[in-house]
Amino acid sequence: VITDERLDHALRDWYRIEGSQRAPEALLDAVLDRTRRVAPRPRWSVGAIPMQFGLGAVAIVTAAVVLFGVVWRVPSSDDRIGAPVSGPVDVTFHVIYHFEPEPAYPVAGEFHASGTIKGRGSFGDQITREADGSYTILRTLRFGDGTIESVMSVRNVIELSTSESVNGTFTIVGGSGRFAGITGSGSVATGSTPGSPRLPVGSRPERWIGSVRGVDR
Amino acid sequence: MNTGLIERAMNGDHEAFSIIAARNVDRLYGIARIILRDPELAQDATQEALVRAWRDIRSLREPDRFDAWMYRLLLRSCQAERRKRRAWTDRIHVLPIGGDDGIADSSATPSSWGTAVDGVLDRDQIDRAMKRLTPEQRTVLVLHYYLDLPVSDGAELLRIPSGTFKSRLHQARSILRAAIDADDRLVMPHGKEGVA
Repeated sequence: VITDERLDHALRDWYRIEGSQRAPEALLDAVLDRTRRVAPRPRWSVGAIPMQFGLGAVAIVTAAVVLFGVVWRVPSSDDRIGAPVSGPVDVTFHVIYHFEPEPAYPVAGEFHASGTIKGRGSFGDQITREADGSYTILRTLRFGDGTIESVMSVRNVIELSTSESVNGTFTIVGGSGRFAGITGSGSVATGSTPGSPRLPVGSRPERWIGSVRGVDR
Repeated sequence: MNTGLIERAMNGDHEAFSIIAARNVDRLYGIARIILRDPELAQDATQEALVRAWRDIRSLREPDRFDAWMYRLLLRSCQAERRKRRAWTDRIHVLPIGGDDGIADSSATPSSWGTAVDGVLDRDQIDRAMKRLTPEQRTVLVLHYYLDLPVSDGAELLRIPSGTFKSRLHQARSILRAAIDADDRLVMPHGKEGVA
């Protein structure tokens, strides 16, 4: 039985380590970039009401333009990637991005992608478990403008119950997330650019060319 | 936090706000990451909270209450991000990627997973147990164990009664304890996994 003291100790230790992650430099840059362009709102007053309404209207129109101006492509089932793998998984995508319509501002900056992945594995003792998790593509993508071509490389380990138990056979059965993950569904590109308050918006991968390779430990 | 800096920011001094943001961004990102369990969502939530802080900084009535106000903005942003995205995903460990080829040496893999905390509990167990908690329960744990806020301050931050805060804390701890106990029972004496 776990005592309160031990649980407290373990929790504080866990938070100390988990909370020690430094924010990516691009995050602060994005914040300062966005805030530099706007002034703090005036403290609420009767005189400020018309201004609030005016800003709200501008925001709604801008959001509508952004939302409806983006062409959302949902990748087809042909984009699904699946292959038997085992142990650590190397995933390499060759991704071609296409912005349509052409962005009104230069698209530049750093983007990070993340998504979800699903796996199923079996152990020597016939226990089969599912791994349903997220992965993060740590590779930084640097975008030019207009049509973009970039290669991302990802290396993940499917975690089941313990780190040393990843020795079964796994099949990536699909996933979704930003930049479409494995299946390419639900992709969203977000980030910040020098040319827009928050970006963009919207690129969905036009197509995915991928490969999945399993590496035995 | 330096109240002089905050007052300058309240007067529209963006340079002062830049210093405030730089001093807070790591801590805010750490909190968001723990609550949301997703680095991308945590970045979005942190960015939104800081931008909101700048836009609304004149609504801050007491500069010396900046930290609590900032935490409240962050928690709201986390809630908003959570609503937009899926609530929880189990995790797949990400190996560090470095170098031009984008793939790091496997020796750079975080070795901390599985490191014993006190001989029984390890971070991996805590990590799995955390998945059983609701976002609200994870939030009270963060406020209590990570920010070391007393119950009254945490409750005020969340704008809930102290009793509710205590109740969520108690529930979260009970769930964690049960999950860790169950996890322990899955491990056979010789270290191989079995079925409970």
